[in-house]
Order: sequence, then structure tokens, then C-alpha cells
Amino acid sequence: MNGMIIGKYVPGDSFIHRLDPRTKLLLMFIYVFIVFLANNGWTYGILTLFTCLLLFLSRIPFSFMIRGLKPVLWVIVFTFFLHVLLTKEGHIVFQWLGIEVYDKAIQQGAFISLRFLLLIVVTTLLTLTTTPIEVTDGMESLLSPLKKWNVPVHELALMMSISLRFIPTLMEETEKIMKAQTARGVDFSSGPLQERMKAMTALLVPLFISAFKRAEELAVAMEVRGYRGSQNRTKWRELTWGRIDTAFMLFIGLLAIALWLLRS
Amino acid sequence: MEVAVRVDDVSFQYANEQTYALQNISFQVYKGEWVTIVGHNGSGKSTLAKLLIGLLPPTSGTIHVCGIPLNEETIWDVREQLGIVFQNPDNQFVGTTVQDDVAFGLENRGIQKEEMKKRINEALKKVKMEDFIHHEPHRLSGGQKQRVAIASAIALQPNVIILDEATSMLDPSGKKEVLHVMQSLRREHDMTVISITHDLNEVAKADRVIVMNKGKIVLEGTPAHIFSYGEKLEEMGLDLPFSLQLSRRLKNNGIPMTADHLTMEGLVSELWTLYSAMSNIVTK
Repeated sequence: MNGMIIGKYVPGDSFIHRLDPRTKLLLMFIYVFIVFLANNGWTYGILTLFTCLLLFLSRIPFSFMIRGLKPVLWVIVFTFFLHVLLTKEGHIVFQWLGIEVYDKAIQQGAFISLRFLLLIVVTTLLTLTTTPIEVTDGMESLLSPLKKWNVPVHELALMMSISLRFIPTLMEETEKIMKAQTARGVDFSSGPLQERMKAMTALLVPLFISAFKRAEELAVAMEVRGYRGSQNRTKWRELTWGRIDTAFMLFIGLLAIALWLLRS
Repeated sequence: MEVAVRVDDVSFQYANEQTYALQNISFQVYKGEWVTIVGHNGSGKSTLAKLLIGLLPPTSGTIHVCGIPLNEETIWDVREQLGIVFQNPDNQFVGTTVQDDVAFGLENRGIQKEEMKKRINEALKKVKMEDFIHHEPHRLSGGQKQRVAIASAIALQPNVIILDEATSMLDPSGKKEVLHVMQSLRREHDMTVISITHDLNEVAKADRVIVMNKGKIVLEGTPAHIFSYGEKLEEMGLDLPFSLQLSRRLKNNGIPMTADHLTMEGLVSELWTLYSAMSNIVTK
């Protein structure tokens, strides 16, 4: 998993960092749709430009982004070749060993992989510039209308933030148990797959037991500090929707309209 | 003196168990007092802690906290009077950062943002963690996490603080940190503290000590009084503080120690003055 940058937060104070997490979540949501509006050179050009602009505004180094995209790059390349080989439209560009490659196929392949790439860049950008807790708060706020239908939005958000808080703790614990079991002769890293799967029980059972114990203690600690669900609760972290957020949303609206008009 | 916590003839028996975990326990804790409840594993001290915070109901007897009788209806009112710091530093850290953790209890009480900000800053200053306000828990040491837990408790302005084995998972320096913070808090803010521990080293600075064994209170008194029962404590599986053990052994070996020292400082200062006193005698 080393090198994966999706899900990692890069501290900063750029324009994108300062946007309200709700704006960024909405951006991502809308972007997933408008990316499908693009179907010709102009529209793809505009989308690419917009994405580059976002990347520039986030002040995240281009090389950092490229490095982080490496693990998904082969999926993109695979998509490209799949289209090149399977689409049979337009003129034949070349033939080789009975494989016919059409010009439309190359165009199609390039567009689809570009679409894929753009989507990944934008979603990665969201997590790189937004702390997990901000994402959680943003989600809670955006989903709060669902409370009318008895969806436990607050509880879900709290669950998410507690899971986020416990990830490093459980990672540390996993490492500790692995070392302890290795010292007792369990081999996690070699041998046939079946053996290795068996060895995992020596890791997972203690990990689960301790996680349940933690959960119970945490529940007691929360109760003692007066947690009784979402009623009469105030919030420490308040999201503030600023003018730049409104402006940014308008800009995305314009982008969507432009794409709609320019698509063929 | 005003009574903060009153425990009257409390007994407790776990389901499916023959013996009582607690038998006819009665004691009072006065306002502004530091009471340490000490006992070996199985002495019933952890059960007592669970009863005090309302996690378990007593089989018989009553508990009053700040005048409120503890029962199912009053449990939330009683908990508002109490601030509790538990054993495991990780499993009581709810927030994703230090400030979020202190805010958690305040959010539950429905406190407004401005007041929250004030209380968070004050509480963190009191435990000397104000420089770590944005830190995530995994970047803090055990002692620091416990200090945050204390801050989270005192931000709710409780009348009584219960330390439930709060230092038992910490390294020596972490222990020192936490006890030091608690002592300065008590000096400056006149807080009532009930500390539950198996470590006799923590007993020395209490106003009053209650020693538990096999579900009963066996000794009660000042630390000096308690330590005069040296062997009896050791029989109950408690380890005497090093300074006390050393002063006793020195005395047994004919070295004229003036007292059984409860603190390292006392022992050290006696030892070095003793040495110069003895060397004076030799040169004469």
C-alpha cells in the first residue's frame, strides 16, 4: 500500500484547503456526473483545464500527484487497450497479426482513460486537501435532511469519526500482536497461501477480542461524559459556508452549462 | 465538613458467584479531600469504582454523591457531579484531536460554542497540554493522553474526580506527570479526589487512605498510619514503597533511622545528613 496517496491528508493553506468541506464534497459529486457530459475534444479540453486549475490551486506538487497515481495507472492503460482492441468504428489505422485498430477506437480509448484519470485526480484532491474529520462533518451536514426519515445521520457521523480516530491505534496493535506471535513461532510471511491464511487467525482473534474490549470501555467513557445520543447536543466544529464557496459552486455550474453546450 | 460522597453499608454480589465482591462497605469522602482507595487484585476496589459511577447497582446499601442518592433515575445527575479518568489512555479518547476530545463532553451537555472554547482552553492549560491542542491521539504519550482525559473531565466542572487506576498503564515518568497535574489541580482548585489504585507509591500524598482486601475495608487512616502496618500490607499483596522498605531494612540492620520514610525526598535527605553526622563522629 506504500505510495498510495488516496485517503492521505496533506496539510496546507491553499484556496482548495480553505474551501468548506461541503463545497468539496458537492464538487466531487457533481464532477462525477459532468465528466460524462464530455464527448469531444473541446469538452475534454475544458475538463482537463479545469482539473489542472484545481490541482494548481491546491498547491499540491504535480510530481506528488503523479507518484500517487502510479498504482492506478495500469488500470487506466488497461482500459485504453481494451477500447482500442474492441471498438470497431471508423477507418482502420493499422493491421498487425490479424488485429485491426480503428481510428475511432484510439480516440474512444483515449477519452475513456482520460475520463478515468480526471475522476481519480479530483477525488484524490478532495482527500488530500480535507482532513477526514472535515469530510465526516461535511457528510453529516449534507445528509442532515435525511433525519426527517429517521436516518441516524449524527450517529453514523460519530461512528465514522471514531473509526477514523482508532485506525492508527488498531494498526499499532496489529503490529504489536504480529511481533508477539512471530516471537512465538507463527510465520506470517512465508509458506503456502493456505498456511499463511491459517496463521492469520493467530493475528485476527486477539485483535478482535481487544477491539471489542476497547469498544466497551470507550462506550463507558462516553456515557460517563454524558453522551446520550444527538438530542440537545451542540457542535464544537461548525462549518462555515463562505462567499468563496458560493462563488466556487457558481463556477462549477457554469462549467456544467459550458460542457452541455459544447458537447456534440 | 461537607460530605461529597457517602457510601452506606454497600454490598455487592456478581451474578453466578457465591461470594460477595463487596461486603458492608461504608465510608465518606469530604469536600476538598484526597482519598486513595488501595487494594490488590480481587480486593473489590474496581467493583467499588463501578458502583460509584453507576455502572453496577449495589446489591444492598446506598450511595450518595453530593447529596443525590444514586439510583436508575438519578444516574445522569450523579454523573454530572463526577469526572472520571479510566485506566486505558487509548480507550477513553473519543475525539480525533485533543481539542475535539475535550469538546466531546461539552457537546453532550449542550454548551454553546463560545463557552466551549473558553473551557477547552482553560482545562488544557490546567493540565499543561495547551500546546498540543491540535494533536491527534497517536502523536501523544500515555501520560499526555491521561492528562487530556483529566482535562476532558475537569472541563465539565465536576465536584468529584475519580481516578480509576488512571496511572497503572503508564511508565514511571507518565505516572509522575499525571499525579503531579492532579496535585497541582487540587491545590489550586480545591477539588475532591478519589483515587483507586493498587500502587502504594501513590498513597503517600493522599489525605486519607482506605485499604481494601477481599471485599472489605481493612484499614483506614492517614498514609503514615497505614504504613505503620507494613507487614500486614505486604501480606495482602501490596508492595511497600521503596523508600519505606529501605528505611525499615536499614533500621533492622542497626542504622539509626529517625522515621519510616514515605517519600524518596525524605529518605534521601535523611541519608545524606546521616552520613555526614556519622563521619563527624568518626573523625572525632
